[in-house]
Formats: sequence, structure tokens, C-alpha cells
Amino acid sequence: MSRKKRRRDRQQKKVEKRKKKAQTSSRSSRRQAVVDVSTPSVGDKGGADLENARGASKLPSKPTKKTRGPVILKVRNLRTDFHTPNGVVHAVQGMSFDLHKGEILGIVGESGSGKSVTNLSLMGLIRKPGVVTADTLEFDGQFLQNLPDAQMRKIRGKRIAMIFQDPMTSLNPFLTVGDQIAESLELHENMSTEQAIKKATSLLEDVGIPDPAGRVHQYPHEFSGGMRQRVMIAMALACDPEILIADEPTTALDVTIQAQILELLKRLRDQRGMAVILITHDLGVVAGSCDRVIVMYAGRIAEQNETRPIFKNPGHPYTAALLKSIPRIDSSGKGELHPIEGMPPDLSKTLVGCPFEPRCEHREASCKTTIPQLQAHGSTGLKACDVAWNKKG
Amino acid sequence: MTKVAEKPRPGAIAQDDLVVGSSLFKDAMRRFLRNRLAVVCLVITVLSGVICMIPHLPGMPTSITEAHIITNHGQNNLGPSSEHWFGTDELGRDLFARVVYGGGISFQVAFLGTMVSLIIGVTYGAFAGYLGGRIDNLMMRFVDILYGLPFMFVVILIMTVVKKETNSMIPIFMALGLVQWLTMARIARGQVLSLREQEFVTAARTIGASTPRIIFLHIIPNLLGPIIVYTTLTIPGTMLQESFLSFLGLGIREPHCSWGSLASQGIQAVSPIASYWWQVLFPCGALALTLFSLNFVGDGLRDALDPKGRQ
Amino acid sequence: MTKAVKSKSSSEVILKVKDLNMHFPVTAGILFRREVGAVRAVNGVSFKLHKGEVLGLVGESGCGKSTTARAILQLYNPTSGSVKYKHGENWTELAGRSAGGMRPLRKNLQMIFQDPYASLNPRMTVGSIIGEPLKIYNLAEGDALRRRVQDLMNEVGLDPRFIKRYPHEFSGGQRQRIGIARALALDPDVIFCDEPVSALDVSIQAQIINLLTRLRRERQLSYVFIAHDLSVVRHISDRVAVMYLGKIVEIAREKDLYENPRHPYTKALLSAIPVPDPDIEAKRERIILTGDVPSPSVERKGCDFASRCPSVEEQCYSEIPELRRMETAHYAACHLYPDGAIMQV
Repeated sequence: MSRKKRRRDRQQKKVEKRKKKAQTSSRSSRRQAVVDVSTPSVGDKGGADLENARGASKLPSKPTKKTRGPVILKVRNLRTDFHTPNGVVHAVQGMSFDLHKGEILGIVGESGSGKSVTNLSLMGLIRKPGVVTADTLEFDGQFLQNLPDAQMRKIRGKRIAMIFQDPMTSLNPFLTVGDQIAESLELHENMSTEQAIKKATSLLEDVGIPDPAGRVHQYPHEFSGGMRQRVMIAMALACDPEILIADEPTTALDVTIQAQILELLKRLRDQRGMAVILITHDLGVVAGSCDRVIVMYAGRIAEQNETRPIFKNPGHPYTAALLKSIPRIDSSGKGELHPIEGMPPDLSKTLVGCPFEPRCEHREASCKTTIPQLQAHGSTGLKACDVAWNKKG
Repeated sequence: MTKVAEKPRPGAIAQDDLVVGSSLFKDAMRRFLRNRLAVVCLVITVLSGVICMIPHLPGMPTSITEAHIITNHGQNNLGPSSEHWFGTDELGRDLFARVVYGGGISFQVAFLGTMVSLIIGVTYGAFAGYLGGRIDNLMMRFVDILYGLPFMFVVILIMTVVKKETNSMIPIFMALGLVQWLTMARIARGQVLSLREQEFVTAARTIGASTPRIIFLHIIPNLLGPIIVYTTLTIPGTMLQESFLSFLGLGIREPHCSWGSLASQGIQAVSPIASYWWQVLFPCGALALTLFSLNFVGDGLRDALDPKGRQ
Repeated sequence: MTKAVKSKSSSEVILKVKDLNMHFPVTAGILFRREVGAVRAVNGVSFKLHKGEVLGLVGESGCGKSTTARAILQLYNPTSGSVKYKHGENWTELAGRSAGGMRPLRKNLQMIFQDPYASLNPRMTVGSIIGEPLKIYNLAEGDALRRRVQDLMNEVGLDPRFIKRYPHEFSGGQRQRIGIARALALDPDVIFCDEPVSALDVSIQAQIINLLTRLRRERQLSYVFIAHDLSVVRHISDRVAVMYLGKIVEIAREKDLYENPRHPYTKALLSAIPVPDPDIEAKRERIILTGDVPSPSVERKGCDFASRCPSVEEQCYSEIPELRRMETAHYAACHLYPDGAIMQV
């Protein structure tokens, strides 16, 4: 308990410091003023802050078997709303998580679950009509949510890098691959063109492109899909980022190529000790690559845990249902699959109960009226479900 | 963002229980009506079109039809007054009547010229695009050749070949239509090329639909968006070209007039000695207002029909 | 608990594909086009389809699995080869038929498409989309047509009240149901499912797979099920064919193919599929293929997989392997297995 208190105090100081900073620094119009995190949030805050989660006093950074690095990115109560002519769409409704150095954190969810928007919000890449708010967005001691655009740009691409789903459209067809990698080096590291091209060549070698010295002068159309994704990764790695956000990096690729890229990501993580956020809809990819997993549903965290318990002892009925609904390559199970009936909720409506309630097979009367908060599940996990449906848990 | 329909409920249903959907066209209209500037411009266009067309309607002898050719000696080059709202020209004709009447001519030429190009262009382009291969190649090379002919040369040729005594509007329609349909055909073909690779066209083939059925039921309705937009942007273009021809003296002939020929005459009347500004301002103002409105309507339609382009 | 519901397919063959080739010419020149080469999208595909059977067709993008289906249905004109369909008691040759000649046969051979957004005409109501095949063949009109359409909507799990709605007002899964209803309208024997679930979310995929399974049982349909997701294919198929660069490299009953793959490509493909179980993932040995799929426009003298194959031999570069028998109903095209009998169609 004392630990919690100390933490709280530290938090308080930071908040005050931040307030001062916010007054002096010119405020970016995109990222809005912060809400005081020290007042415990009650009611519909969607698991707003983990410190106050019921029965989860020390969460989320419990010590685990694996030696995990220090927290490099801390997110509390991240919310992203899109103001459309048809109403406000609450794409992300209070995400809170920590990212540790050297871990691969998987974020899984179906389309519209808010997994991509979460990361665009982190990077400050949400444009109008989107509005991002957060209690804390702390990267390596720096608060991102009040950072002016110019400073954010310095972090983005240099210390936090991103790769996207479609390697076909993410590269400029008019520039050679080398020029594109060199661009960020020249921009962020003040390298000369010659130096930058040299570095680009060694980066291409790092990501496993054969004959890097020759290929550095080729254009994107001369590369295959898998090779282009490698180029994208090389570009992302150019400035030695501390965090790599990979948004569905293998979805557009074939399985044999996907295996190559996932191996590459794991190797790079081991070599460089960077943290990776891997956004995907494929539970198989998560099982093979991630250390920790966040399962998202309707803009919220449904459950968060280390990879093994997510699959072996899911805490949220949604995770369990998802696992049951996919056919598996290693079993000849014929007959019926167990689909999740119905559809995800409309994110423009205000939530009154659990968002998964209409599709949940373990729902109880109270699920309709109370929004479940994140609470402890097992020794390492958090779940947003009030029903004791899982006998093991 | 796609709307999500309710979860289907199985079971028998009564006929009057049907849920009627809203088509893409209805959605587009709703978006268009939200664009206030475009709606205002549409109202201006329609109003000026209707006013200008009244004197041209059969069985509606109005004073304007007569007034625009009646010359009044001694009343030449009068400034705007309560009697002659827009003043008079050098032959003493009432300029208001001439602007309204000439506007009707401009509108007719623009609309009919565009319609001619629309029908020829879309059909030609749709068939070329859908049939593809060698036929497409030949059809489009023919278009390229026509494109290569100098526009003025073609127009002058048509104007001189067609007898002057016949209604002088027909050669103008022909000349303008002949040039405009080329672009329309190219646009239609380009759209069809991407549409015919869409899976719903393949789907239509797998259920055994014939080629004309595919073109007229599946392809042309989906062309409507870009075509409507291009049409609304072509109308002002045609109107301007007609004015240009008339300005050069190749278009509408005296005593008839269009906005272009009126402007041409007005410019001649503006001299350092006596500035009869109204003879330039009113026809040119009417033309400019209409062109502006049509362009804004076209922009509004494009935004409404293609909401992706806006965000 | 849901094992072995798998409906037995009869031994009666309903579709025979032999040496199907679909080469797309590569042309050059502006006015006078001449052929300078060909993309060999389908390069000698042969298989049989039994009545009531689901044949899975898997492979990576560009391997020609979709083109195979379209060439069989004569949506492309195949370069060569034969496609025989058992129409009643007689065998009918489909290859080389004109659009008009295909029309009476299209009733029996239908297709479901990948993209639930692109495969429905956005300007037509659901009712007219599902009813279109019935109209083309003059099978129903007016009230009868509406009732048939609503029955079909019920059958695929769509609310019949939505008959007047437009496709964009439905979610991806529901649109796929509309596509399925359209394919069912003519009461076909064979449905080619071209990646029917790959554009859908995981939880919706299962709904559609279950629907397809149920329809197959109720209507005794045969499917050619094309997908790149080997897990989905395994779940739904009786037999599975693996394609690589326009050729079938291995074809076998589902259990044999997944548990005892012979072709090195099949092995690598299966090992690359991630399994949603971290314990199994940690233990699995993954064959990581190097390099990319070679160009389909180059004609090779040997095995197409030779450039990436972990167990490549000299012979592989000089001789094209043929599909040979491994065990009952299991054929693979690889020089590692030179002894079995060559597959006959």
C-alpha cells in the first residue's frame, strides 16, 4: 500500500509540474488540456486510471517472471472522439497502459475497435474532426499531450517510429529507396547525404535485403511486397527509435512473407532493445510474437495480460469467444464454429452498460446498466468484466 | 462510415413492414442540400435560366421577344432608367430585353450542346471501355485524331458549310457538341475501365447477364456521379465558347443575340469619347453570374456525390 | 464435441478440369499491338470435383487460384485445356463456349466473391440484386419474385424486411450474405467461393463459414473454396489443393494434407501459419522460406519452387515434376517422390 501512496505522490508532483508547463508552453490545438489525474475517476471513465482500478492496486506493472525493462511509454485515459456530421464517434474511450522497454506489446481487436486510432493518437497524427484527450501521455519522462507540433515532430519518426499496413502505398514512387531512408537521417540526425546513404545501405542489410549496396539506388516498384515492408522497417529504424509502432505490418503480405517479417521484428527487438507495439487482428500472430497483449473491443480495453494467460485463461468473455470462433490449422474440427453473433456497438452512442453485453453468452442483468471497470485477473492481468464466468479465473 | 443495419430478425413479415433504404443518390442529395452556397447558386442558375427561357417558349408572345429587335430611333445609347432598366444600345434597342433574350439563346446552346456531347460521349466511351482490346484501341485513336483537329478550323468549316439561311443555332450545337463529346467519351471510358473490373460486373456475368444489360444496368448508373459533375462543369464551358464564337462574329447573327454577341457589341461601344458602360456591364455581368453559379453547383455536386474526396 | 459432422461427399464426379491454361498476353506497341510474352497465371491445372464435396484451393497471392475459378467459369477465355461439367447425365465441355453458350449452364455454376463492398452494385436495392438472376432467366416475376427473394433472404439469415435497402446500409458480413443469396437464387450445383471470408472480421468470418456449411448440407452443394487462409480452408474442405505459380503442387484429403504434407512448399506454408496458442507457437519449428515468388511471365524448364526450395536438387532445375500418387487420393508434384503413378483426370 505504501508503494501505491508513493506512486500517487510522485504523480501529483508531475501533474503540478505539467500544469505549470502547460501554462507557459504554447498549446497545440490538437491535443487538449489535461484533466487532473489525481482525482480518482468514478463512474464512466472506462477504466480511466489503472491505479484506481478495483482490487488492482499495484497494476499494471507487476513484476513477472520475465525481466521487463522500465516503462518507456505511459498512457492514462486516452480518449479520441471524431466529430462527424452524424454525431460524435467515440473511437477510443479511455485507454490506459504501459509500454516497457524491450517488449513486444500486441494490441488486438477487430476493425473499428480503436486499435489503430489509439496509436495515431499517441503519435499526434489525428486530424480534425478528431480530438484527442488524455490524462497522461508520458514518453520517457516527457509529456506528449502538451507538446507543440514542432517538438512532437522531432519525437515522431526519430524516437517513436511507425510502419503501416500497406507497403505499396507508403513509399514515394519517385524517390529511390535510399533517398527515402536518408531523408529522415538528414532531417533528424543532420547527416550529409553521403553519410546518410551509407547508413541506409547498412540498414537495408540489417533488415535482410540481399545486395543492399545495389538496391539502395533502386525505386520502390523494383521491390516485391515483402521487400517493401522491409524497406519500411529500415526507414523506421533509421534514427534508432526507442518505440516502433507496427500497424498491421503483415496483413497485406502472404503467410510465408509474414513469417519472415515477424522473425525480423523479433530479431530487431532483441538486438536493439526497442519496444514494439504490434497492432493486429490475427490472434495467431500475437501468440507467436508478443510478450503482452491488450484486447480491445469498441474503443476500450477488454482485457490486458501476458500472452500465455490471454490464450490459456482469458479473463474477458470476448477474448474467449474470439478464440472459439477461429478455425485452427492444427485441428481437423469440422462442423460448427462458434461465431460471436451480432455486431459491435455503434460508437456514437453513449455507453450505459458493458459494450459486449448484447453479444455475450455470460451476460447478467447488471451488465446492461454498469460499465465494467478494469480489475485484476489472475496474477498478471486486467479485465473489464464483472461477471465471474471463468471458473479458473 | 457505413451505416450498420439492425440485426436481422427471422420470421414472417407483413408487406407494409418493409424498411425502405435510402439510395446513394438520395444520400448525395441530402449532402448537396447541406451545402448552402451550392444551393443558392443552383437557385440563381435555375431562376435566371427560367427567366431567360420564357421569351423563347412557343405560344408565349411577350414584349421581350419583340422588344429585343425593335429599333427606336432617337433612343440610342441611353443609360439605365426606369423605362429601360439596362439602358439601350446604339440602335435604341432595349438592352434588358436583349440580355434576357440573348440569355435564353446562351442557355439553349449550352444545354443542348452539352446534351449532344453527353449522349454521344457516354455511349461511345462506355462501349469502348467495356468492349476493350482492339475495338477500344481503334475507337479511342479516332477520338485522338478528332482531338488533333484545330477547334476553330472545324467550327469555321461547319459554319460556312451549313447554309446561313437555316436557323443559325444548329451549326453552333454541332460545332460545340462535336468538340465536347470527345472529353466526355474519354472520361466515360476511363470510368468504365475501372468499373468493369469491379466484382459486381463479374458477378453479373456469372449470373448470365447480357452485355447491353451489364452496360445499361450495371455500368452506366454507376457512371452517373462523375458524369453529372462533369456535365455541370461543361455547361459553363460551352456557354463561354459560344460567347467566344459570337464575340468573334462566328456565332449568333444579327438581329438575334446572345450574351457573347452582346458583350462584343458593348465593347465596340466603349470608346474614349463616350463610355456606354452599361452595354458591357449587363451582358457580361449576367454571363459571369451564371458561370459562377454553375461552377459552384458543379463543385457542390462533386462533393456530394463523392464524399470521400472531401475529407 | 462438434467433430465429424462433415457430410460425406459421394464418389460421383461432377466437374473435371484437365490441363487448364490461362495465359494473359503481354503486349507492346501503341497502334499495332504485338505479343511480347505471357503471364502464365494458370499453368496446367487438373482436378476432379465430386458431388457434394468441398475442394479447398489455397496458395499465396498471385498463385492463380482465383484465375483458375474464373477460367473454369469462362469469365476469362482459357488459353487451352478442358473443363467438363456433368449436366444431367451428359458431360458438357465448357471451355471455348461463348457468353451465349454459357448462359444456360451458368444456372448450375455460381460464384461468391471476396469483396462484399465491390461485388454488389451500389445503385441497386438488395431485392433487385438477389432477384436479378431470377429475372434474367424469367423464373419469377412480380409478387412471386418478391416472395422468392424474401425466402432466399431468410435462408441466408437476412431480415426480409430489408428487401428495399441498398448495399451500403449493411455491414460487411450482411453484404456477404446478400452475395450468397444471389448465388443461391438459381439453385446451382457448384459454387465457387472466391475468398468469401477474407475481407471480414474474425468474429463475422465464423458466421459466414457456418452459413456456407449449413447451406452445403441442406442443398447438397459442391464448393470450390478458394482462400489464402489455410485454417479456414482446413475447417471447411474435404480435399485441399495447394497452388504455387499457376500449378497445383499437392492435392490430398484435408487430414492427409495438413498432417502429412509431402511437397516442401506445402510444408513451409503450413509451418508459416501462426497458431493462436503460445505454447504450441513456442515449440513449433518454422521453415522460413527465403526470397520471393518468381515472376509468372518467365517460362521455366524445371520446378517453379526450385529457387526457394530448402531441399532443392540439380534435377529440379531441368525437369518439371508431375503430380504423382503418394497414397490414396494424395498427389504431390516433387522430384523427392519419383515413384508414384502420375495423376490422371
